[in-house]
Amino acid sequence: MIKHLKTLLRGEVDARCLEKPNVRWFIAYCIAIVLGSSVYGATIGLWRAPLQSVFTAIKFPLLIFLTCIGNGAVNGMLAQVLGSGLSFRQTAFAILMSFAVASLILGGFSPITLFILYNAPPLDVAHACLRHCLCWHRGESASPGVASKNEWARGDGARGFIQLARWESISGGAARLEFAPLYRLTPTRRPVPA
Amino acid sequence: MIRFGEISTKRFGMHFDIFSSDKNQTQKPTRIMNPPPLPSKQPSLFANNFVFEPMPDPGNPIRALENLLKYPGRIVHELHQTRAAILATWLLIFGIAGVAIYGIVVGAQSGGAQMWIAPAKLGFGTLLSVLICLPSLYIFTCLGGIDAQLRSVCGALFAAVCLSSILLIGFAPVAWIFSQSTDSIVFMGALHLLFWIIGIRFGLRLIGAMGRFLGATSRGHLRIWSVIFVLVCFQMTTTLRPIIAPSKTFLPTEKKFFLANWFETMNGTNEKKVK
Repeated sequence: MIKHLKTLLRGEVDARCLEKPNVRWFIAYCIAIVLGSSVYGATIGLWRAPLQSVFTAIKFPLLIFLTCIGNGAVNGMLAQVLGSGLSFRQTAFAILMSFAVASLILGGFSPITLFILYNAPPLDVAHACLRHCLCWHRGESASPGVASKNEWARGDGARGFIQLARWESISGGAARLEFAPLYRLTPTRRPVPA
Repeated sequence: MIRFGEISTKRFGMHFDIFSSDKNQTQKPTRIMNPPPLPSKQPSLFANNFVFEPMPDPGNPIRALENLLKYPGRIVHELHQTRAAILATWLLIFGIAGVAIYGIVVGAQSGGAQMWIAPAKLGFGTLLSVLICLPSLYIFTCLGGIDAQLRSVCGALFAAVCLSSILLIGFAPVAWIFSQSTDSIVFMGALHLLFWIIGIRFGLRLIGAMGRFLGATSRGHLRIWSVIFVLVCFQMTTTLRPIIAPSKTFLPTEKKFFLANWFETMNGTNEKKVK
């Protein structure tokens, strides 16, 4: 499993992987997403409180999985419209692979995030949330996604997948809002409508 | 620029005709000698002359240090052999010890307790920075298309730290002279930072060499990681402050971003807070 994930990180997983998706690979990608994103989520939530780190560690993998599922139908349609030649199942698998890469990178960033967290001002300081979140977490969580999509675009995957990735980023952001708060602790664990 | 078009021998004695001309083209082919291959481009003055070859006497740690300075390619090659773990351990020990030795010079600015506080903080901070950035280095190495093992990546990072610490020791007498000549914390901080940047520049070049040795498909990933590592080290100096100036507490009571700390130090705000 680790060997296959290393191959995935190197971008050497070619289109043959999409032709015959393997169940073992599917499980490996899911484990990578759960481990990488939950560790990263825990470091984000720890800024507020230990309990929030537990919540965010659960929310972050769910956020990724639900983004995959939520975009499955749209991606399948767009892949065919854009002439990529990929089926619904293949696009879903490709998205899962790209999110696995992103999660592994985020997992690798977790010690750095923890260190930044140690040096960050308390949450109740004015504008601390804005400065810390926008400057670091947005960039850090966005860059692995871009990197993973670029890996796919560089390979012999469909070019139209870039378009899918852009759509996915937009809807992923919407899903993230749905799962808010990731930093602040709320008794309801759900965003309160305005 | 003169290029050797053709070298031909004439009937009387050996004469080398440098410039190619129409006259030479009419000569018989039996007289023409094949010229040796000449480089079409002059090598740059500070080219990365890494020769990846086996290191003689790999068990000797002193020889390893010598090779790290003179033939760093041998270290990179040796880190992918069976005895890489021992070599990597020696490199880490030498790296931390070298930084700690330089820390004594840093602490000499203030004297007193800083003489042991500064080496301890610098050694611990270096070790912590390495441990924090190691997972991301492994991930970025894989993203760069390298099929590397974790111990090789560890060894390359330890070698980079060790090389930078050796260079810092080389700069230590210069830093000591200035520390005894001035009381300006800002100037000494900038000087130590300059020396560290020079040292780590050569150290990170070693990691780039490892990427080339293992056939990296792109250098961008390791460059991005290098920026992250440098930023973490900068922040570490702020986390463990004060290192140069004396303080009542061992660790700071206020959390700061490193740029804010630098600007406040330059403006003299931190000195007012201490008073």
